[in-house]
Amino acid sequence: MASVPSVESLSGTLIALLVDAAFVFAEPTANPLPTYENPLVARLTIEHGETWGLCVCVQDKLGQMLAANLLGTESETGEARDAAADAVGELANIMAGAVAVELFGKDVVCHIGIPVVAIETGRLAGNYLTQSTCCVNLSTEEGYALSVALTAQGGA
Amino acid sequence: MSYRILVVDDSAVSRRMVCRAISMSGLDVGEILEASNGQEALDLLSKTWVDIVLADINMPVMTGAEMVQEMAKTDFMSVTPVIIISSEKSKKRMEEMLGLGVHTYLGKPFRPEQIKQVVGDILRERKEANNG
Repeated sequence: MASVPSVESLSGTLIALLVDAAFVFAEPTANPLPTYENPLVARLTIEHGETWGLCVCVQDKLGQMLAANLLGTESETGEARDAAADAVGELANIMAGAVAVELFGKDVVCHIGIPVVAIETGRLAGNYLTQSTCCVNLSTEEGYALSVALTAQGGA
Repeated sequence: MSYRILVVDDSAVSRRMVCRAISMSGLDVGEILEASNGQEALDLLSKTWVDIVLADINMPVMTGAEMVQEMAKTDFMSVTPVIIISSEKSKKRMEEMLGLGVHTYLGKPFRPEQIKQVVGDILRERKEANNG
């Protein structure tokens, strides 16, 4: 079985990716995603003999900011609002590529699933995070919350 | 002569990012077509001449790898250079795709300069081949 990355190692990887992929600056925080809001949640699987679930939960406003940064537009535009879910899915896909290397190394071919993105209740998103094998909570410099959870789902 | 490029990705945001990088590159690109999976791309390629294809791997309906294999079976498609842009960072996956005949493998997140460099190199080769 792949060894579970440490929270510190996963945080470092994800923080660097957020800057490279979406010009978002974030740092680790002890505060989990607020449960009073309904976040955008992207979920996908990473498989190589065993299956891991990756779950990326972001505050709605951060989804818009991600879309705006990726598309080169302003956060408050309709374009950014419409593309927020797709942007979170793309971010999850990029994160999965890096997480797959952390789990299995660079010398194997993993299957990365297609992200499924939905607006979930804060309570359900909270369940994904608390039931995970490894969870990272980040806060952007704008104060938006983002949580990434990795869950072992079984293996061959 | 301006060139035609096809961008294949199931994520509209990702397609827009690639299209933007090409549009801002100053390269002689006349038209950028889009497809959301390998099958849509093949349908377009069977009807329209395309100079370069930029494609993701993980897509529903038909993956980028399957698309490249199908392109290799058709004479006029087999000569079209394919650039893969994928979040998969495995060395083995990269070698596998290059073994299928892919021209270049770029990892996500990519920098616009990388797209400009690779597409520019291919277009220059095309121009030289046409002039020679």
